[in-house]
Amino acid sequence: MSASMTKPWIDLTPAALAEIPVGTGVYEIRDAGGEVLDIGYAGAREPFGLRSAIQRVSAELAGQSGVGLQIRYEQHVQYRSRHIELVLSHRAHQDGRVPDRVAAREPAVHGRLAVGSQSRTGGQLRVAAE
Amino acid sequence: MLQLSDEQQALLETVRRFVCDEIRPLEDGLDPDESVLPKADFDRLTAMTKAMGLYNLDLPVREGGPEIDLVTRCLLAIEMSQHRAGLYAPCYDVFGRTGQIPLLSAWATPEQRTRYLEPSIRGEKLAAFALSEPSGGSDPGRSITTRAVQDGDDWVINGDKLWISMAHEAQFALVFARTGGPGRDGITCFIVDTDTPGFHVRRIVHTLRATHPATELQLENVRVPAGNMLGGLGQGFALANERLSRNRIPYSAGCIGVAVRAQQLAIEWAKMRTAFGKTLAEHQGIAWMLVENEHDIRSATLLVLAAASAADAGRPFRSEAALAKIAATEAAARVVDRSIQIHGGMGVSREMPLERWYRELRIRRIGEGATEVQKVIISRDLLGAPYRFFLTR
Repeated sequence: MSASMTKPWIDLTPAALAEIPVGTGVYEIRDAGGEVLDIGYAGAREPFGLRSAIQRVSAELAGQSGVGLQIRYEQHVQYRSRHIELVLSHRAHQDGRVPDRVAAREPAVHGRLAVGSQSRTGGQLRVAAE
Repeated sequence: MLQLSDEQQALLETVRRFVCDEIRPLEDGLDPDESVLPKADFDRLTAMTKAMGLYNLDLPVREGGPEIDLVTRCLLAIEMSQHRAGLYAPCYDVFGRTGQIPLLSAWATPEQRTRYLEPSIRGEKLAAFALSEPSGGSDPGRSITTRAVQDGDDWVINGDKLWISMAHEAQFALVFARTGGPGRDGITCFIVDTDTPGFHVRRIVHTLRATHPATELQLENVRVPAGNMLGGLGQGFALANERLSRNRIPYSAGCIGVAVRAQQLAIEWAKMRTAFGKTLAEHQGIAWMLVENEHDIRSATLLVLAAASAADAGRPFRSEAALAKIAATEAAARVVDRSIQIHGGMGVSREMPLERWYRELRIRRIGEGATEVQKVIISRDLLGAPYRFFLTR
């Protein structure tokens, strides 16, 4: 079980955008150079969940960084705690830095995870649950 | 009939207005699972609670906190929790966040006071309470396998902890580790700085609750000086037990506050919504659900206040706190469940706070000692001496 998102990156095309689910969840967006520009979530107040959240954010980012955005996302009911985990995981791997958009967002995400976080009990918990 | 003093009435009215006028309107603009206010709002409201003389209510008197009895504190907890985030983030902490301060205040050495307690009181440090482990959280006396071994002037700790709230943000943790043989007397508490090499917050454990995330910790050869032992060798369980028993009472009161607010919402809805030619309230099936809600709220409240009163009077309150915890958490869960049923589809919508309380109250029946653990505590007292009616004991 990884604290980071492990889904593959997808080129942000109109067709890909139309495939994004409309439920709650978390997402990451990066530019053509591979720099992560945003880590965000689509909460319960988002009108069309991940789809409208990513659409809005990618439109804002496209104006700044041009074409070539890539996205990945997870549908998640607990988008708040998963978002915190993704930001902390990014911070752990980037020497304490987070994307500007994340740093500017309120309320701020505080704290840290261990670098290269790998749960020792995640497997056990899953087995127990099954 | 329980009568509140004029002073208590005035205090409760002040907090009730604050929740109504300041907290609930802000929630309309927040994510339904939010537990933290934007900084500007937090600072503004904290300034208000300080001006009202109600900041840091839980600070022990010896640390400069207000002299407030537990009964009044529970009544305030009932008021402070009557909003969407109220169960786990009552008033978004603008009345102060106490955390582990009472425990440190009771047990810390002069050096520990300087390094940990005083910065905690100033709000500069946050502590995590690292008791539960993957091997089980209900019976820590037997299930703790995290081991601390003395090495010269230090102790070296190895093991795993699970369900530890907010450890990712904490500057230090109270870590309970086995220093002796099996059983309660073999456990000792250590204060561990979270930036100590080998102290790893491995992940956030996602649960029904989005606020105050639980984490998983891994301690790999974490070296702490002997001076970081909190309490004496082998006193860790007693120390944890003291915190858990007392905390159960205001913890239970918070559940009642949520139930009260759910009942308010259910009554408003039942009087307004019509079906089959009359309001829901005019259907006996619905009206009786509201009565069942009220029965749950009042009986749980009396048990919580009885436990608080026993603690205030210096009488034994272990069983009373356990009864209060069972009554309040189970009753609040039933009240919220019925209130959702009365609301129908709206009840499970995130436009209403009921669904969040439903999820979070499910955790409350487990957290701070599950209902079944409380029954073990009460049954020990019941069976350990000749039985007598509780009021004439």
